[in-house]
Amino acid sequence: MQLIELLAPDRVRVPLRSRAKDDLLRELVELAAGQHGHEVVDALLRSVREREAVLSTGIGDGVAIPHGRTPRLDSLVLAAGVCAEPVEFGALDGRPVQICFLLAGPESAAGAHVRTLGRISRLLNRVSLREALRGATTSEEFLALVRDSEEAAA
Amino acid sequence: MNETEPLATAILLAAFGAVLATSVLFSRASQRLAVPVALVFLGIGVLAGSEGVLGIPFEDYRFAFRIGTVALVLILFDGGLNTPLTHVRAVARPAGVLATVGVAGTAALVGVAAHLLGFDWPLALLLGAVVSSTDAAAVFTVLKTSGISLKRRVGTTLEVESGLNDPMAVLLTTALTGALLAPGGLSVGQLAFDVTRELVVGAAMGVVVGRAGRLLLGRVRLAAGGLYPALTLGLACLAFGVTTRLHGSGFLAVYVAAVLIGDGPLPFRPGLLRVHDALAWLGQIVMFLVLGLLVFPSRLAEVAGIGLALALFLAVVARPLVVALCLAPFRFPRREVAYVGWVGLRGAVPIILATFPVLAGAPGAGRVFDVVFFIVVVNALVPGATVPWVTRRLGLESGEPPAPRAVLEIESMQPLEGSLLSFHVSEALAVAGVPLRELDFPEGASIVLIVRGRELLAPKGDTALATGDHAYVFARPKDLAWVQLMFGRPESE
Repeated sequence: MQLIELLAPDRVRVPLRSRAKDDLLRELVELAAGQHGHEVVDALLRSVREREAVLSTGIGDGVAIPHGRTPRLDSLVLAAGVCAEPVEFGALDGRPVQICFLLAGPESAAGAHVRTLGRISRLLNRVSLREALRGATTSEEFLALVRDSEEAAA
Repeated sequence: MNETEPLATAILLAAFGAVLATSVLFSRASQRLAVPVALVFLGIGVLAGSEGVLGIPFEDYRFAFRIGTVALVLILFDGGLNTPLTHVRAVARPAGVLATVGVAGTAALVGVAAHLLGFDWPLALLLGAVVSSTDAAAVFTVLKTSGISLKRRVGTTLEVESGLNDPMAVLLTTALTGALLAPGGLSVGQLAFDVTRELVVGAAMGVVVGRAGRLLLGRVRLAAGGLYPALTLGLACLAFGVTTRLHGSGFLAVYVAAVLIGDGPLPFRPGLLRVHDALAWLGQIVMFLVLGLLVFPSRLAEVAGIGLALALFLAVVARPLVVALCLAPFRFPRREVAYVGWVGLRGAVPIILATFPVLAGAPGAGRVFDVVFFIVVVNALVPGATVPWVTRRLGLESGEPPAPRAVLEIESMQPLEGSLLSFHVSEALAVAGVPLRELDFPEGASIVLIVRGRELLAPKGDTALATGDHAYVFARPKDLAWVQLMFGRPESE
């Protein structure tokens, strides 16, 4: 599945406002939860924090891909954005994080969840895309960059 | 025993073999009795000694001192190799304060107590200095045999403290022995200068040998894997010998050098570590056996009262108080402070140090030796036997997953690109419950083996990773970000 199919325009925020890791996780989770109630936000946030407790999902080069699962969702959802200011995220390379993708889904979609995670990390391996995303000023611009990048890769 | 060769050697080896094998087999007893395994070796030494069943006549303090020093070098080197540099950095300051100010404080308090119990000041202070350093190995063997893993910061603090605190105890003992032999010859200013010099030179030489060792091990290609541990053993001996000649602390140099050498890839790493592990065990056994041989149980009875009093004072008053003061600036939680204070077990170092004034012919040194022996044994029994209970009681067990039952490692004499990492599969990971075919591994990475309980599983496309599995993943450096996004933190890191 293309990321762009998952990434609804109302789930992208440029810039993200949070300045601290935990605030950023909450902002992204709320963005991903969309119309869902606070039960989904709470369950998802708990799952995402548990994953961060194992090891930061800041995979380096200013990119973080937090993720979590909860039975309260019925399909995969993706939220993304660029932080106004780089956020200290405990990333693997120790550098602060600016580009964020948060992936969430139900246990039943665990396979697609893993495939999508891999896809995001592979796409963001490209220096040119990372630089372009960091320079994005609107969510439309962000989405267009992801779409173009996926088309180029296909 | 005036046999001619080769009979003399044969008898020596037969006796040594019997005692060594007995010690190893009886090490299991420490598990059941929950006492540090060192006590078992010490006990066997006493039994084999002049007043024991074998009646081996042994009263060579010089030989005991030498064996003890060699054994300590082996033990400290092994400890350093297995302590990651990042851990040392994380606790360097609290452990450093404990290893210097803490040791001096403990020595002073025990000295005062010994004086109140009737020792003259010089002897009392000497006694304090001799028992002032701790031995983390004593704590860890107890924990390991009871199957408990300790929270990392507490464990590392104890470990690094004991790696660093022997020099201070050695220096104090040497200086106070000197003062006993030449009364009035002790100046506090001189002592402070000597201590500083020994620590600075020791640390600097440790860094020099460590760095040089890393360079050497990274460059040189040896004909056989077994030669690498021989080389590292040589480096350990060099670090001690040269540093001590240069008026630095040899023990500190050995520990620092080992930490640096162990930090990063090494040729033949698993084999090398195993050899040093074995050498450290051999060192422990031989050292305690010899120290046990050196003791005359009949003489211990005379000092039982004073020994017991000092041992309890050390465990209940001196150590906890000093630890609380030393750790105050670092804001450790109270139960961690209490724990570090309680489990500061004494190992072989005090007994070895106690031979020092005996060798120097200091008056009254024999009595000090007996008291010290008593203190070490009581100390190992009273806080020692309670270690597992206290760990659980204070809630300091780590929540870290248990180690896999099978360990897979790449063993190579040459540095190769790529590493084999194991991961504990927890609920929180994206890969939990997912069949492997869904994982689109990068080109150069792959899952190699799954350890599930007692089972080894060959990873196939439809094998699903279950919570509690240990997954072995091979990856090159550039794919590590992907692997850790999926699998989380590698174990043993």
